[in-house]
Amino acid sequence: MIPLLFSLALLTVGVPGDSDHATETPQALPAAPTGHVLDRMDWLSEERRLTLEAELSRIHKEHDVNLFVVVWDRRLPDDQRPEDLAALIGHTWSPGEVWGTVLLTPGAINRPIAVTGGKQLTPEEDAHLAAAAAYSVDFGRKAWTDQDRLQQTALVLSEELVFARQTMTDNTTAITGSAAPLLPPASFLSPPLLAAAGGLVLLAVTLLWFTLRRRKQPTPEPAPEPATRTFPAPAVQTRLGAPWSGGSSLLVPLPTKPSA
Amino acid sequence: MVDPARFLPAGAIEELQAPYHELQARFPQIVLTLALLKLAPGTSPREFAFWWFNDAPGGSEERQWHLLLLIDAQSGTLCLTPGYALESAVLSRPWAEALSTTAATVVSRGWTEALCTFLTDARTLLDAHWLQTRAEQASPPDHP
Repeated sequence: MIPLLFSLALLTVGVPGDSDHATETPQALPAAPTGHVLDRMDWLSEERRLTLEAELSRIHKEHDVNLFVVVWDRRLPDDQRPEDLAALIGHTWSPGEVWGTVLLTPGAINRPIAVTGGKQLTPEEDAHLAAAAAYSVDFGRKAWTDQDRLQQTALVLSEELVFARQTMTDNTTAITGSAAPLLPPASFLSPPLLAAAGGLVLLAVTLLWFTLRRRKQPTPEPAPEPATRTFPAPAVQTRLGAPWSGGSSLLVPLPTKPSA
Repeated sequence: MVDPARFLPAGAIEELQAPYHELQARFPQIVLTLALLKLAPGTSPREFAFWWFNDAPGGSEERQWHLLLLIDAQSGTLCLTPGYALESAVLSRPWAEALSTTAATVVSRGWTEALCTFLTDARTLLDAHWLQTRAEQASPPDHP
């Protein structure tokens, strides 16, 4: 695995000018960003980038979890997977024990991927982190816009990594901590406590029965959505003597080609 | 679709038909025009779109429901101009982000895929606005 990752350090990446005529030249992985977000295409708004930076810096400071959000501006060679690049970024940039990378590549601008890893992880911990990455990507898919999708994926993954790290720390403490007997004291087995426990069990069973009964009741079918949708006519106030449109504030430049 | 300078590759118009007709079938009230132009140097795309929208012949009340995506190859900008009736739906952050995505896709995947992405995003965002409008109609906000 490691040799593969380091062989990726000399990625052959394309020049994303005219996508049909991109040529490929050797390019090293860029240096780690000063923060946790690398977006050389300025694809994220300033507000969104600052929000991410603030949250990821806080998590790094408080929990020693490194999460990088990368908007990659170059096309990957056809035989390279984005997951390998994300793993390379995590391994190379993260000094901490647990890391995650949320990566967006030009080939899949609406599908961020998440990869996690760490130092000296057990197979169980590795699998736990991988499941967290899969969950965060799945959660992010529900967002409306591509930028929201990236942000949601990153924020959910950061929470999952904090939780995973906490669990790992707790397990270590439990193993290395004092080996106190785990049997309950004899007072727990006294008749009043047993009666109270029995009462609680009875209450739980009753609640479960009511819940299941409510679920069985048929719910009314929702009205079908119309195939054709129309908006109500709004109150229009013309401006500048223009009869149909007041102009636009939505102006976006085409990104500068990194090769230019 | 307006492409006098022929920026689109052969077959692109055919590829754009499906997402365009899906949008049109879903929102028959709305007319979306995609224009790829190379304006004269120094011409502001925003001003050109404003002038074109309001001064093009054949205007009627329905034009308030038009949406014009102007792509100016001269300045390298994308400008989205709505009619008055669509301002509340379109002049918002999600639309600005959809436009940024379209611009990024132009560079990475080419014109055809970028415009397909825009058409799909436009339908999604109009759906969201329609649902929001319907919810507001069902429970109008309290007035003091």
